[in-house]
Amino acid sequence: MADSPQHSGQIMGHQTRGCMNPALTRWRQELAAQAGLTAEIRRELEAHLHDCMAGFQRLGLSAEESFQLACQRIGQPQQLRAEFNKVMNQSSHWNPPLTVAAWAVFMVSFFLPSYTTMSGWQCAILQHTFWPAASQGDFLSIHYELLLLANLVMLASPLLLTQFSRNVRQLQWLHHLTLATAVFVWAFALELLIRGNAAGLRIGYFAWSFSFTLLYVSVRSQLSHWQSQIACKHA
Amino acid sequence: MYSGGMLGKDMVAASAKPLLLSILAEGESYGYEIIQKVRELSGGQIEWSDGMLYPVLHRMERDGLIASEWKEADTGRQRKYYFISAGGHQILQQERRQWLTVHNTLAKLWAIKPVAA
Repeated sequence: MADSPQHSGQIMGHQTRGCMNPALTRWRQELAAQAGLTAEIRRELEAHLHDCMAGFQRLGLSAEESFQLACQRIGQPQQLRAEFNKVMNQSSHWNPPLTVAAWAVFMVSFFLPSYTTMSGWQCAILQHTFWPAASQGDFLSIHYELLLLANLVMLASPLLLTQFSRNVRQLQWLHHLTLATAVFVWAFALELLIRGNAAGLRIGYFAWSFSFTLLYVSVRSQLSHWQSQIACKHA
Repeated sequence: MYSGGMLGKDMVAASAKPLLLSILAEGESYGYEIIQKVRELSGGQIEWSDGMLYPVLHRMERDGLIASEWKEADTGRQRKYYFISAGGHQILQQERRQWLTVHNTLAKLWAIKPVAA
């Protein structure tokens, strides 16, 4: 958005648009050249630049003078990059060993016997056979259909963990998601047990369910680690 | 964060978090407004360099002390507004106690009026 002409016009204002756009474009390019300054950070800095310019212009400075002063106040792009990189480098510290173990167990479980003589992948492609019963409101069948969502969470977890574990709030959200998923997959085994169908369960099912527990534990341990760090910092 | 003014570099760095949390405890705000407010409240004695404020805000957001949201300002432009989280309120109380302890200790030494914690 920050690089779009529409955004540029919107934030520059009519008075300064004509003469300052080339300088603004150069400033944007300098920022964009700094690795680690994401589009959102650049957008935020640009919003600040325009607030700053508007402030100087209210004091009677010209558009050009305001732009120069606002750039000085924000600082050198290299310096900004260095400061932001300190934050970003501390950000990606989720628990790789446990997470990789979760993914490994998840993948292996598809090749192990999971229910009677069927392996995990054979069970996974049975969704369509449960659909008629699920559409008639059979709870076990609905539960089975929804296990697809659990698989999607696991498949998306590499992306979720790398992209959405950059702050405590996001990590808490991932914590809730992985906990709900782990409870959901184990609840299916419990439901089979209650209905007397649990005898057909094989190691593959338990390995598959366990992979979700591992994923949850990896997120949980990271969250605890982070929270204790914050508590120590402020103790 | 440090840009000059009357306060030393270390003091500016140490006071950044309680100042930011205290400002945001009064209501949501954005970078430029925060800097203006600190300048105004300190009578120009605390000068933050504008660009260095954002890494601090991002770090505090990462630590769950504050959160942010893009909103349209009255000028029609988009701005990122920050607000304090529940965890931030807790940390602010801790910071307040610690700073008042320092203040009151110095107040006794300098024979000036202490402040109730």
